[in-house]
Amino acid sequence: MAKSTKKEQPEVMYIEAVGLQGSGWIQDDTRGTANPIELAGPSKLGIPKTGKRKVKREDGSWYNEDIRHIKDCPFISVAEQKQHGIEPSPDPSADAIFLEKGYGVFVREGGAEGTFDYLKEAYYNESNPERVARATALYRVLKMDEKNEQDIENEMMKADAIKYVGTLYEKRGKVYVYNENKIDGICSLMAIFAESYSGKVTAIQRIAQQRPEWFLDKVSRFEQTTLTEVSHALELNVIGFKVNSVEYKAKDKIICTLGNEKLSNDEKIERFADWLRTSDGHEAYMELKAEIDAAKNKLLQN
Amino acid sequence: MASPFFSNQPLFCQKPVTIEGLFGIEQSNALTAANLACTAQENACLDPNLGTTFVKNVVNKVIRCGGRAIEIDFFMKMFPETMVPVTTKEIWNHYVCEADLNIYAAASVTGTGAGVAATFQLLKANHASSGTESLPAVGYVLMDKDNQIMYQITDVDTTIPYAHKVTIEPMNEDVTVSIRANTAYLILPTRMVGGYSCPVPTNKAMTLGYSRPVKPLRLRSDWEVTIDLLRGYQDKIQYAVIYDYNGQPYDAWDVYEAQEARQSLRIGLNVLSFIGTPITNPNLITGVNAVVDEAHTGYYGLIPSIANGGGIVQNYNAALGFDLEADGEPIFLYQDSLKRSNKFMFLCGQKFLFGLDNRANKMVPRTQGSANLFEAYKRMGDWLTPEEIHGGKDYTSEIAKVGIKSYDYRGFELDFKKWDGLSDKRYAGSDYYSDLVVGIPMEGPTLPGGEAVSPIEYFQYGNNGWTGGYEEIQIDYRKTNGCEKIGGYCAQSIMMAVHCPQLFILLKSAQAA
Repeated sequence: MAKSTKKEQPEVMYIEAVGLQGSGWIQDDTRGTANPIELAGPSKLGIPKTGKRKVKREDGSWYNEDIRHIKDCPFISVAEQKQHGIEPSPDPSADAIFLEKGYGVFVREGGAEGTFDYLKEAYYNESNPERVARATALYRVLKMDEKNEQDIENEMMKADAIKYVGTLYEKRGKVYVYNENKIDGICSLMAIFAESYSGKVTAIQRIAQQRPEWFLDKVSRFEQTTLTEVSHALELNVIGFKVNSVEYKAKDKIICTLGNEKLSNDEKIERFADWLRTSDGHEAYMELKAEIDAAKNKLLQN
Repeated sequence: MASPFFSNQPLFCQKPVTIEGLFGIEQSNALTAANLACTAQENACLDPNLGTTFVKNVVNKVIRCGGRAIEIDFFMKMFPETMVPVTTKEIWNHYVCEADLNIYAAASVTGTGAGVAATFQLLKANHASSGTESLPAVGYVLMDKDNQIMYQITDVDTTIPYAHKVTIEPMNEDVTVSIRANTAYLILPTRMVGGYSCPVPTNKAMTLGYSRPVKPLRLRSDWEVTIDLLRGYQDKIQYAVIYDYNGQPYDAWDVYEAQEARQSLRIGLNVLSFIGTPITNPNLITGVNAVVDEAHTGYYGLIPSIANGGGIVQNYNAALGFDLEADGEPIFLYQDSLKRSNKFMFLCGQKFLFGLDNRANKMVPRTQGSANLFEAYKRMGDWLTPEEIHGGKDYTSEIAKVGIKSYDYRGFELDFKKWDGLSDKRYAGSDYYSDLVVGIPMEGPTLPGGEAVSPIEYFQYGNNGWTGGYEEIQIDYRKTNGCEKIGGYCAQSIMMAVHCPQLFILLKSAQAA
């Protein structure tokens, strides 16, 4: 039997049922909020009252021992219970162990030592390092602090991803103004098809919420690559800005015009990179890449 | 779960083969011995034209070695598809839970003295509307119902969402406030007032529910066959060479591929309605590998709905079998505490039934101390003659093990019905499902008017006569691109909702080691 390390602070075990996953049922007042409450497990999950645990002999060999949960009984070994004349309660529900909505908190104190040890040592516990693989894993031990930290990290990541999507449009009065080039670029990157820009943004937002880490990684890599390439093209004198037009220096060919506003050099680079990522700019992007390669080769040969 | 039967050389009879390919199978040709070049006669005459074609004497044309036919429609036979027509591709069902007038404290609190007010924090789960609303209100009565103690609620601090603080004062001057965590306290949502009183309106809306959208699943199976194959066989086939999923030889005025397409559609519909879940991977919805669109991501099947949607799941030790008393009664008591259905149809796999009988047969000796009170086996058959008995035989020679078909205890009625598909390993069944039980509530969900709703409902979208109902299209390619082949497809869209999974019970076996 495991013993608590500190008498004043009994061991606490947070457990989570194995296989919890969303069911699509969202609690009424939480749909659409930052923390929607979704049913993601059974309302009651019964754990069998009998099981097995590993017991090591002195010679190093081991065997599976029958264990049984009896409420308020400190022994979980069936042999030990028999030795002390302890029998299961005549009330079948007294010895039952249920997890509510897939979770449970168990404290090793006040007569509940047996419950704690049973859950910890039974092979049903996926986190039990001694368990045999063929036993059915019904629950796992959570380290609550770690889980909270992970939750916080996920939330932060989600917030970053949503924030990024927020940069793709702005609301001017009652009208939404979309960064069309950037939206088109992301849509072609993620194979999103929608007829309107609002539809495209909604689709991007959904992906950002569902897979924030993947989304941020992909978008930032994509952006970074094109920005780097535009900067290289400028450094290698392949292209140049003439007011708001981008043109090839050697070919006397205008690639695109970046609008009528007054733009700083950085803004021009960013806007040109955004345009290259769209399907309209795809051909020009391929041509630009070839020109950069040619300029690099020329530089190496010289 | 480990399989009790294991082979390192498994034989699978589902290898796809074309009809043309099937005709060319070596054994098939050998049976007709159509190729004279391979016969002994060739050596004799050195002229294949003079050789004798012989036919091996295949006595029985086809001998089936398989078991009973695969019950392809296992799910939809159990839960027949009666379609409810709808006009949109996304439908919503709203479920209202039972209102609970009890609240819980986040931590235990004890007053400083008799008759003195004390404050406790409400459990997070008792808050609604993003943590801004809760049931206790100033003037209401809080009852420690198990100890018959009344408290007056004198203040509710709602400043912090999800952490409302309730201040109570004992109605009896001799009582010291004692509020314990994990104990339900009843709120009486009304006020005790004097002869003259003024209005203090309070929001009474307190029922929270859940809603879930259902999107359709659309399945399609295509087929194609060249007309050359229909014109006549190349060789004389001595036995039917085309079999359906159940090993039945095909013989009909219909194209075999079309029949298979229909069956494969039913396979998809049945299995996905049983254990499927919606597609959520964006790559498969709008990405490069998209197979569906956003409107057709599918729905949650029966088992995932119960297991993850708040159903009651009881794991039992697989080695011991389900015990109606030890494993069942805690669930019945829980059902009773919420006044839910106490009549269930338990749809079970074969293995569960064996385990149930074994465990039940031991139940009576365990509680009564005598096996004679409960008949577990029956001797059957005819009385034997004295000579036969003298020969060492007993007076009856047949024995039957007594099984359980239903269980009735204090108003709880369980009917056990074998669901054959759960133990059919050739199809959706497995050891796991053979041990599984789906408890369907007989007094299930109801509409506000009290009319019963089927716990599992199907929906069919459509507008102006265009629906997603089953359709079958045949294409004659001779009239389209000139190729001598015919083809076609069948397709069907369907939506399914499992209503109120918290009313269902799922019994699952767990291997202890």
